[in-house]
Amino acid sequence: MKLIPTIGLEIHAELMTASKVFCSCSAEFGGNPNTRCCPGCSAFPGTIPSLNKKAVELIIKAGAVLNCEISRLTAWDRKNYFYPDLPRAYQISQLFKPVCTNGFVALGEKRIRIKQIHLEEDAGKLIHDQSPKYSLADYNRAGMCLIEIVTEPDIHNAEEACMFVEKIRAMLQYADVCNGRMEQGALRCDVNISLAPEGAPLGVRAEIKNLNSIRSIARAIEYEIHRQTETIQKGSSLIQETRRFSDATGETFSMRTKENAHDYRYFPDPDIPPLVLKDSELEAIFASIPEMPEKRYARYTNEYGITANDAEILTGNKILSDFFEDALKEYNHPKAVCAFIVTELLRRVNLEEIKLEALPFSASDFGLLVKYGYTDKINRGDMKEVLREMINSSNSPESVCELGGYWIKEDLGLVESVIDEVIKNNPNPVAQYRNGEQKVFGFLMGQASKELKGKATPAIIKETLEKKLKG
Amino acid sequence: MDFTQETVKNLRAILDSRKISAEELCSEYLELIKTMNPDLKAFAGVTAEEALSSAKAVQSRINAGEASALTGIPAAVNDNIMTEGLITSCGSKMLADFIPPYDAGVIELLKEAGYVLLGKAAVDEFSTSGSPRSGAAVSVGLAPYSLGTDTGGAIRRAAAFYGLTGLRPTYGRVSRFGLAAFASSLDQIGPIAKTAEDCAIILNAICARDSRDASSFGNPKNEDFTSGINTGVKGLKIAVPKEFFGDNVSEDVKTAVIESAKILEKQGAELIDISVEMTRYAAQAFCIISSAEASSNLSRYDGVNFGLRGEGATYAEQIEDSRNKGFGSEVKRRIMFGNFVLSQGNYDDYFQKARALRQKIRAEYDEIFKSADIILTPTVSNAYEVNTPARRVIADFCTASASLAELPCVSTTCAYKTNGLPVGMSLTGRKYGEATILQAADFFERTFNPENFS
Repeated sequence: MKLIPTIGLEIHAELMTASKVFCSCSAEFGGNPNTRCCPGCSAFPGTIPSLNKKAVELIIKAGAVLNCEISRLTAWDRKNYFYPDLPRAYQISQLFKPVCTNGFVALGEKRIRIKQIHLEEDAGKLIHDQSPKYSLADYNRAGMCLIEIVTEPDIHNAEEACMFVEKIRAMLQYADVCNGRMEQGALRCDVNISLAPEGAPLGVRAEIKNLNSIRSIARAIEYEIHRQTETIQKGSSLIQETRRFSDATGETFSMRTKENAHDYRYFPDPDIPPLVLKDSELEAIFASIPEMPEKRYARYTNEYGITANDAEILTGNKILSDFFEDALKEYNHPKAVCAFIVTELLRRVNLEEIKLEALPFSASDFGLLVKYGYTDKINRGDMKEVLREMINSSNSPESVCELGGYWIKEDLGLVESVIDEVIKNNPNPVAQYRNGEQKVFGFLMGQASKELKGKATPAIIKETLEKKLKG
Repeated sequence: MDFTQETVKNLRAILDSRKISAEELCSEYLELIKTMNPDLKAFAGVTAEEALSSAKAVQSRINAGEASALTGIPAAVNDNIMTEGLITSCGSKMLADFIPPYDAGVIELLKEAGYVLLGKAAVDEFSTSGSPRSGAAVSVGLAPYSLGTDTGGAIRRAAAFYGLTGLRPTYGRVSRFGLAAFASSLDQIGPIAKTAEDCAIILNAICARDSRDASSFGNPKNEDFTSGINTGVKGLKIAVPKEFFGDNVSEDVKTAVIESAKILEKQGAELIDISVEMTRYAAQAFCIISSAEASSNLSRYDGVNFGLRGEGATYAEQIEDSRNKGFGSEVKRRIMFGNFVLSQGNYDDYFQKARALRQKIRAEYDEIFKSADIILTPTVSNAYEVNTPARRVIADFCTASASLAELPCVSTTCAYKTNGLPVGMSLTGRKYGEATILQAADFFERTFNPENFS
């Protein structure tokens, strides 16, 4: 009996807003415990949540890039449950009228359908390891803007799930909706998975909560497929339950079963009026969406003549693609900049000498370095070395070249004497050139360059040689 | 001289003429509170020192002739309205020592106006049922007016019980920021005073848009709510719905309200007999919606961030103990009922139906206001004479409709029963039609002579 896994995902993405979703506290990551909260996000009596319009703008952008329908009337609901990380004891979310519905993401030929995307608030953090007697609560994260992307059960293996999450992550980054930093919890994933024989109705599903890396998504799915297959083949029956994944052991553990599931008593939030979105507002938001990776890819290959492979690499990561674009502003030579990124910059990143998220130099300094190499201010062969020194010293390319003596020194006296020598030693080609045979110029140029390598730029050699030949 | 029985309007003239200083006036009230409050318990907390110093501070404004309508005039404020640095307990053990670090929106406005806070008027726990003692405070002269809160009729019932005038403004007129939420879609702050004119003066001061309350509407046209004062009722169309004059209202109340309608007619108003069928279910719909919202709003009191913290080995045990000790039985009953109507399987049968009824009541009222300016009803049903939880649900019958329809409603005294107790009648107006109902109530008050009813 062949069992087919069926997987649906719920992805939580934190929005890149300056302030929280229902108060004006800073939405920056981290901070000392409970320094980024106010009476509002601490649920003091008399405070009333008021909606951050920027968050609505960002979820609309997310919906647009994920091909969703955007509702003209959207409203908020309360999800009621007690937990110490949830100050109001209800989470403001959207059940009945989410902002986005019916979207999809294309993975090659296949489409993964998105059921809905809704806006909600994040909860605080509990710290359990400070004492055996008590837990501590940090509400800095409470009330941060979160979107939840809910897929249809269209995924059938771990690889597909990971590709999907990677793609969502890249698109949200491109749209300036979410920074995608999974290690900071800015993107988290719940996996719903069940197994059934081909053609049979869906099996009993387990939900694995809060996976915060692509690797743990893959491992959790693989483990669940293994566990559920074993259970079914043993003839035992599965129960509908919520499970958590342990990174340490690679296994999943039961948290609660369906019988103990919460009754969230959802109802429309009476504090937050429904929001009516006008077409003109939506159009303005759509117009503000930055260029998506597909468009950039087309521009790189068609206009810049970059190879498909390199364009794929550049656009696969928004930070890299933005870096490339910014470097071009300094030196508009796409092929040269691309080549140096792909061969050298990424090598350093892969060797973990530097991080793309925190490079020790700016894109414009990188562009400047490429410019030096391609305009013969320095030898192209020295570019790697200069970059390495920029990494080590955090100095500008200019000062690295200065201090390291990388500038090509142009000794005009030397150039002239070398060229005089070349003319003297090659009387025949010189005569041919002077008789109008232009093609021998290349030969003479080659002779001179061989002698002057690293000491003069081709432009100077060419200029001097032409002058002398015209004599 | 004793000025404690004066209206807000008269106190303004008295202070401006310097017959008495703001501080002296404040002392008069404080003296009376000292004598009467121990028995009356109208105040949960008296803020004598703060009151005297703010009275002293505003005197210069009065002397300079720069006083606004409420400058130097004392007030009581319901204890479920947040006052910075002063205990705001909401009448609950849960918040017995809670000191908010912020003022409610209305308090900020009153402070700007130079008001003098005498103390926090005692409320039923989270203002659950309708006998706010701020009414008692005003009726015996412990304060010239009070800021009350009205979810299903508390302000209006306080007015009816104590022979006063109480205004529930249109939902959104007055900011809810800083009002401890019971039922967010129904809660409103409003004045309880001696006259409709005073209510209008106070509404002028507390009505402003507040960005901290998304439902806040404020006063975008800068309307003067006293504009209709002393202008009569000629031409006003007053609708009298038959559903409010059935078995659930006692005979003497019915007679008094009908007689009052006739008086208004004689003064030039036009009476219209109407029917608003859905209001028969208003009390039940109100009970379901308000309890549902309250169950959620009161969930934050789990003893984690603030408020009473119980004991227990686990989080679940601890909040159970906190809430068991912190809440009284009426609040617990509402929470249980609210959770019941929102739970799976009950949501559609109860909560959704109540919401649908609310829509229908609104639609009916909209229809009536196409041809009428005011709806006249009794304020209190006879259910208050029987005090069981089930009867208390029905008791809100007269006042719940205006709350559900989010309409302004003023209650004023229209008669005294043979036992001397006052009878209240309610005038409900169009959305944002406070000026019109205050105009009618004011005119009725000017012509009302209690001796006619002896």
